[in-house]
Amino acid sequence: MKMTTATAALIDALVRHGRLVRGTMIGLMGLSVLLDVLKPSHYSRFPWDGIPGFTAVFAFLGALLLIGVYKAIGYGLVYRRPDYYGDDDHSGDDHGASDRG
Amino acid sequence: MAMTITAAMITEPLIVGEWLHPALLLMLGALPLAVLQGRSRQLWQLILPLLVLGAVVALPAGLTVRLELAGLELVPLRVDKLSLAFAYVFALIIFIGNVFALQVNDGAQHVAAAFYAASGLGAVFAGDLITLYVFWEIMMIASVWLIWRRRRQAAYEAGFRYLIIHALGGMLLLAGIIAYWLHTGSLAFEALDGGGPAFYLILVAFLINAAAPPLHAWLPDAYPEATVTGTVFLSAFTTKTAVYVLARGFPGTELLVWLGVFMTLYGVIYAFLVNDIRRLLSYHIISQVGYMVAGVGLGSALAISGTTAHAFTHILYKALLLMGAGAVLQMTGRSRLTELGGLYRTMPLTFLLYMVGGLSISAFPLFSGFVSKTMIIEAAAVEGRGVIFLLMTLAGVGTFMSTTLKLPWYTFMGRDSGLRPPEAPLNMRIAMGIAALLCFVIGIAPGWLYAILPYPVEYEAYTAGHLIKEMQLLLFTGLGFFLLVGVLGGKDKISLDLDWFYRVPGKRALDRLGAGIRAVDAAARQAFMVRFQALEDWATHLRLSGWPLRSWPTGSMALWTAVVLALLLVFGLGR
Repeated sequence: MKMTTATAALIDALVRHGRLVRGTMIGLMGLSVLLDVLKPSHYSRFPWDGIPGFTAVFAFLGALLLIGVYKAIGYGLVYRRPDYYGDDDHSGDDHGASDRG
Repeated sequence: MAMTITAAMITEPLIVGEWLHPALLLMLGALPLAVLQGRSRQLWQLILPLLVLGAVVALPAGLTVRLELAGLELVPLRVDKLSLAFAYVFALIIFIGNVFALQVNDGAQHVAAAFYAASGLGAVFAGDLITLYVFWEIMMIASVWLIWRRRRQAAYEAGFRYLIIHALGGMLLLAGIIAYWLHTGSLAFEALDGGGPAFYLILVAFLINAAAPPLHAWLPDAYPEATVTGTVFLSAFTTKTAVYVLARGFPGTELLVWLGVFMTLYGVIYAFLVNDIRRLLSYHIISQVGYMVAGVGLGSALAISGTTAHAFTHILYKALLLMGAGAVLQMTGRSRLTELGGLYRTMPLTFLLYMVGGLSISAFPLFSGFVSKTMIIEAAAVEGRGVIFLLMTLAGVGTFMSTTLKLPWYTFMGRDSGLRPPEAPLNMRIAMGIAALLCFVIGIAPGWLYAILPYPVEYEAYTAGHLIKEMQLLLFTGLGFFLLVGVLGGKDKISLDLDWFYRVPGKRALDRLGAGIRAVDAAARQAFMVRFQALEDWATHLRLSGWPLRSWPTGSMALWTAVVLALLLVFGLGR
């Protein structure tokens, strides 16, 4: 119980200091790109290996691309109401039935 | 029945304990779980997996046990580095899964889990295709009970769909084995030669269990419907046994490279689309198995070792993730993102332990996925496969976003759902803790994992270049996520997958076929009855007319007697 409370308090502190967490993350992003600029690439297997910050741009654009693709597929093709298959108990309040004898 | 037992590459004489089959030990040892109650059941649930772990560790690489049965040479136990690596992690997860399930008072579920796990062990130790087939089928029959023991209609129906797809896979495997035997005269389970019906029948059967599209929908359909503890076992054995048999039978098959990469992205996209947290994680099983399938397809020593390493780490972190999601379901009764949020206040330990799994699956440095997933991507890079490299990296972006950011954000952080469930029971937290510890230990000290891989590995995960690129990948993925976090929440919808084909038009076609058969049957019965009635009318008419009872002429009788005697003579029937 003590451990649970202490852990919750720690996470609460991080939530309260959200601005600091965000700042740290942005600082780390800058640092990771800066290091990439300063340190020549170890590899030259692909044309993009020597481009500093390539992975950062790839990840950011990739994230946006994946979000766009899933939204398009969802709304354009596969989303249906929860009772589409004639039932709506894919989740529900059943606690997983794991403690029943 | 002749029985011979030989040991290859073993210098010391065999004693029984050295080749005690761990699957047999687990199956026999599981039987008391059906009747034991309370503390004695819990105690045996802890001791038995440790005995199995001991039996696996005691098996020396190189041991081969042969058995001649009805003229067929079977190899029920073939121990080498590939099978051992899978068996080690199977044995570990049997223990962790049982710790997680200690509070479950359902003997049938424990026995089913044990038989399922034992058949997984049996399959990876199988040195011939018949033994493999037997364990393959036991695996299917045992595992469905982990779904059905949820005891609700959705689970019952999903279990049946699961059973039908796997029964189809089993039939294909058997047909493939027979074709292979007829073609080669051998039942040894080694790398299969390319081409021919046997090759493709066995490959498709293996791919069904690997949940490779378009034969994948059984997994996200059934796993989220299983019991909280059952899903943990399910995530470990079926797909990873499939990865093992693919690595054993189909290394270097180019088709698998592209199929695997497609799986990584398919799983990632669908994981975004679903609302149920255990279904989201189920789609990520497909995605992660995709890396392994692609690794098998690449086929190099680094790729096969990377596949094995990733299967090892994946079993642990995926179990951890599903234990975290299962703990949420158990404590709140809910598993939809739209109904959850803010749980960190009362379930902070579950949240933190889940995050260890999340960081591991995302290949975050210091966690297990970083030392295994990057091996497969590195294997693609070494071979100059640029497109494969980029697509796998893109899938890594999606994995981090949905498993490590979206799911925990909308479950444990974000909007406060008002739910204040207590922490999961102690045994569940301990199980998650053991899995988390292993994820971390593998991440910081991968040497011992690399030492048990099938091929020697000269791969260094912790280089400055790897670290910088991985940090860029994760941090900038996070940037993309948090910029759009407002629109990324779960939707109160379901997302159709390819199971739609057999759940809607397939079912409709079956209903129509049934109605058609019933109509033809009714018409045939009616036509028969009409003719039968006509025959009956004719017989009645004949009887009433007295024609058959009239006096027959003597000449006519003599003629028919002569005809019968002639026929007997011609056909020799009188001899």
